[in-house]
Amino acid sequence: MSLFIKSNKAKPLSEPLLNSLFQYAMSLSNHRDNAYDLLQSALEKYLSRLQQPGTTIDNPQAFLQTLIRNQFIDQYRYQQRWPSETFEEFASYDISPLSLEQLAIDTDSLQRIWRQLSPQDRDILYHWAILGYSTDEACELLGMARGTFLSRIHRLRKQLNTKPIDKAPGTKEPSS
Amino acid sequence: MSQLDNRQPPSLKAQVQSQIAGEQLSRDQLQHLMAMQNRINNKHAEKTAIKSHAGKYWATSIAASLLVLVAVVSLWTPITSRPSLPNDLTLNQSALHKQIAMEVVKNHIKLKPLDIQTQSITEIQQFFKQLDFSPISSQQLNKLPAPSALTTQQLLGGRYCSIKGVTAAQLRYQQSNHGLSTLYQVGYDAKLFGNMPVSERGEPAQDLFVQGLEVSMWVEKGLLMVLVANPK
Repeated sequence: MSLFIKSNKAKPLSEPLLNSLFQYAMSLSNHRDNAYDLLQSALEKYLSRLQQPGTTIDNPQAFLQTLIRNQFIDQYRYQQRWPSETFEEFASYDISPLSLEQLAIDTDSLQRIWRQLSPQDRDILYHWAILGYSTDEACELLGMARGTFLSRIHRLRKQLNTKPIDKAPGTKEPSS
Repeated sequence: MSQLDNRQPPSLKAQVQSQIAGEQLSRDQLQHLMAMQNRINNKHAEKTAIKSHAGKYWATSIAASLLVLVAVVSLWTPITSRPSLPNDLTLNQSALHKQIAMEVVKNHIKLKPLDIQTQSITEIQQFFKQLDFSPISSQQLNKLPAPSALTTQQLLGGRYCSIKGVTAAQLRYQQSNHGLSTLYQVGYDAKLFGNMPVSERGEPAQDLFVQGLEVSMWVEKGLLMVLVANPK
C-alpha cells in the first residue's frame, strides 16, 4: 500500500468487492456474524483513514484484507484461536515434495473438514486458491517461516486425506 | 491457475475456490454496507469544508506560539553536560540473547512431537531438506560436564522450528539423568542474533537462565547453536 498526496475523495467499494472481502473474513472466522462484524469494522477504519488529508490508498482490497486479518488476530488471540507464539510448530512426519496443486478432494470431504481447519490453514488456502500466491509469496505475505508453512501444508494433506490427481499421459508436472 | 480437466477428479484448488465463493453477503447486509459508506463519506465531506477555513487560522497561530516557546527555552535552559548514556550496543546484544533464550525455552517446554525419530545425524541431515544449511553433530555437546554431556547415542530425533523467524532445526536429546535437552541449529547471522561466542576460537558459550532452564548459545561451523537443558 503506498500513500500519495491527493485529494481525499472516497469512492464507494463495489458489491463484488464487498463480497470478496466477506469471503476472506469467512475464511478466517468461518462464522457469518463474526465475518460480517470484521468486514464492517475494517470498512469503517478504511473510510476513516481515507478521510485523513493527503491520503489515498491504491489497493483498497489488499488494505482491507490486512485490516480484517489484523482485527481477527487481535480479537481471537485471547481465545487461543490464533497462537501468539513467536514460532509455530506443528506435527509432521515428512515434508513430501508433493504440492497442493496435485491434490484432489470431493466436495463433501472438503465441506466436512473445512470447519475443522484452523484459521491459519484456511488463510493459507485462501491465499493459494483465491489470490493465486505461490508458497514463497504466501509465506512472505503472512509473515510465516517457510518451515512452518511447509509443516502446515503437510498437516493439511494428512487432514484432508487427499489423493494425487491421476496424471493423463503427456501431462507436465506443475512447477513448485 | 491450473486448468480443470473434466476427466480428472475435482482438484483441491477448485474445491477450495467453490467452498469460499459459496459464502455471500445477504442483500440486507450489502445494502447496509453501501449505505454506511455513503453516510460516512457525506459526513466527512461536510466536515472538511468547515474545517478547511478554521484550520488555516489555528495552524498559523499555533506555529507562531511554538516559535516563541522554542526561543524562550533556548535562551533560559542552562547548558549541562550530556548525561552518560548506557552502552547501547551491550544492552541490545543482551536483549537479543534474552529474546532468543525465551523463544527456545518456550518451545522446549511445549515438547511438540518430533518430525523424525532417529539417533543418526546422517538421517537428520537427509531429512531436513528444507533448511538453508545442513545440521551438524556438535563437538561441544560431549564436552559438557556430566550429567549434561550428550552424545549421538542420546539423540532422539528432530523437528522443524524457527528462531526469530528463520527456519531452524530442533534436535532432541535424552540426558543421562532422564531429562530432555533441546539443541537448536540455524544459520548464524550476527545482525539478526547479535554477537555470539565462536567455539572454534575457544570462546565459552553464552549462558543464561530462563524459567529454571539453562540456555547456552554459541556459534559452531557457521551455525548458531542454542542448547536448552536442566541446570548443571
